[in-house]
Amino acid sequence: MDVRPADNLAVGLPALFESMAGAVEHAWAATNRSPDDLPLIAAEVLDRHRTELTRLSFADIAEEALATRGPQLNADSPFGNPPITWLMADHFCIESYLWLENSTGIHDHGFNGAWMNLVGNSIHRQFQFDGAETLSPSLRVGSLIPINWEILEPGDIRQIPRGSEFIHDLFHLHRPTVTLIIRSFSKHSRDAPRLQQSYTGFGDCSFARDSFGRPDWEVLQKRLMYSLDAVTPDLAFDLFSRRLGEDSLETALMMLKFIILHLKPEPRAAYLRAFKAAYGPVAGRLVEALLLYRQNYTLLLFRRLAEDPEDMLLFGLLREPTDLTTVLERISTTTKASNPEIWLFERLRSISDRAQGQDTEWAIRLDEAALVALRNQLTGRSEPSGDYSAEDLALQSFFLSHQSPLQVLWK
Amino acid sequence: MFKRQDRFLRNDEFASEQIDGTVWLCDRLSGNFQRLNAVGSFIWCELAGSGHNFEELLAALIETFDVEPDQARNDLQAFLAALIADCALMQKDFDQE
Repeated sequence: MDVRPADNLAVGLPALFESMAGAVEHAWAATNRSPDDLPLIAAEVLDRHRTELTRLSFADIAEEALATRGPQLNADSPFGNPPITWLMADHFCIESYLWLENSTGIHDHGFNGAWMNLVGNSIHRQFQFDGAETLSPSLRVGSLIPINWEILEPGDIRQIPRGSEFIHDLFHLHRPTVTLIIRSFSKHSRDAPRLQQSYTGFGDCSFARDSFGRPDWEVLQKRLMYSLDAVTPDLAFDLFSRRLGEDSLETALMMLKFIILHLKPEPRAAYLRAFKAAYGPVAGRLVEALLLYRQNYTLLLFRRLAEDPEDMLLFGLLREPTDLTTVLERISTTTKASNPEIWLFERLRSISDRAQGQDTEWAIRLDEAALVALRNQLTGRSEPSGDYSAEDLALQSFFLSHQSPLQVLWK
Repeated sequence: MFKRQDRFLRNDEFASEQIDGTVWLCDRLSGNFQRLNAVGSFIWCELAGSGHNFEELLAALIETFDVEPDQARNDLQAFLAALIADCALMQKDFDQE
């Protein structure tokens, strides 16, 4: 990736964004600022400036961002490392998101707009959420189904229609990846208020929840549970269990969604079982959603072992929901590898070798027997190999098929 | 002590695999694995599907293994209690049926 300042813009970035804002303002005013028209207008303006925008290097963007003195829409938001507001008009704004560690969760939007990848590639997945059953005004359980998968490259543009017809997530392959978005801005928006929804789980074990504007006590509960578990885990579980009788399912679910990422194995199972026992059959679906959520979160930790964008691609491909056939197909189409099984195996072996010296719980360490079992699984072989009996390899397969991050390769 | 008609079911939160006669369990909620002994493996396999009651399990155990009835009863009691404590099995009391 070229990180040198380019000096290749005929005008500076502020002037470019002023020009783009003027074009948006003009076209949108002609539609009487109909909210539904903004995605197409924003996409067309991004498209008209594609040449200048894709010529920007990361250094150009960083240099301009450090010099900006304008108002920031969400300077403290964790969505972006950081988010950068370039221009705030009366009804919309132009922002960039710099991505280092973050990928997005699955979400829809409370605004309209369009975005372009400026620097770096991203895996973009789209979903639909069906059959939703309302559990509370801000929580629905339903079925989340993947409907599209693609790699976005610099210059690729996608529209963002507000609401649940566009549900997606992004997994950024380059570090950094930078995106540019033109989006409606709620200060003077005519959009009816709508909170962004986040989606957790897959298939029939999925739930959607308002993810913005949560009350402060919810944050307090999460942070306190984290601290209690760190210093007095028995007290933490005891207090959580007692709250189960007092709190709504939604409140307990949100505490659980946060703390499940930090709990050790036995307490994790105890929390999940207590939640299921307290809230009945629907809690069983929510627990399955949380387990899938945790698997994908674990992958984000493993992602730190990535050395290059192809390692990142591998971790992006291993996220739920997927299976071996899908992973191999996508390796074929995105890497042009003639033998995706070998590509996958060698990448995993290399990552495992690199992880040997890492003293972390999320380092992938595949010993020799696990590597043989993995190779057999990828190639469809089942015969014994070398020093390992068929039983040894069957046991290794059982372990791998129930552990992050490789369990999807046994589906 | 379990009653003769108490029924036992596998908890579907546990995945299992029988390898060379030995059953391995994975608690999907904790991610922990455990290996069952020969008697435990036999009983786990017997409990596939709709489960069995204590009396049926005891009869199957005596028929399959060369073991005295009292010893089989004690082993079965201990095994079932341990797996219920681990949440791998669920007990349905006869009185609740």
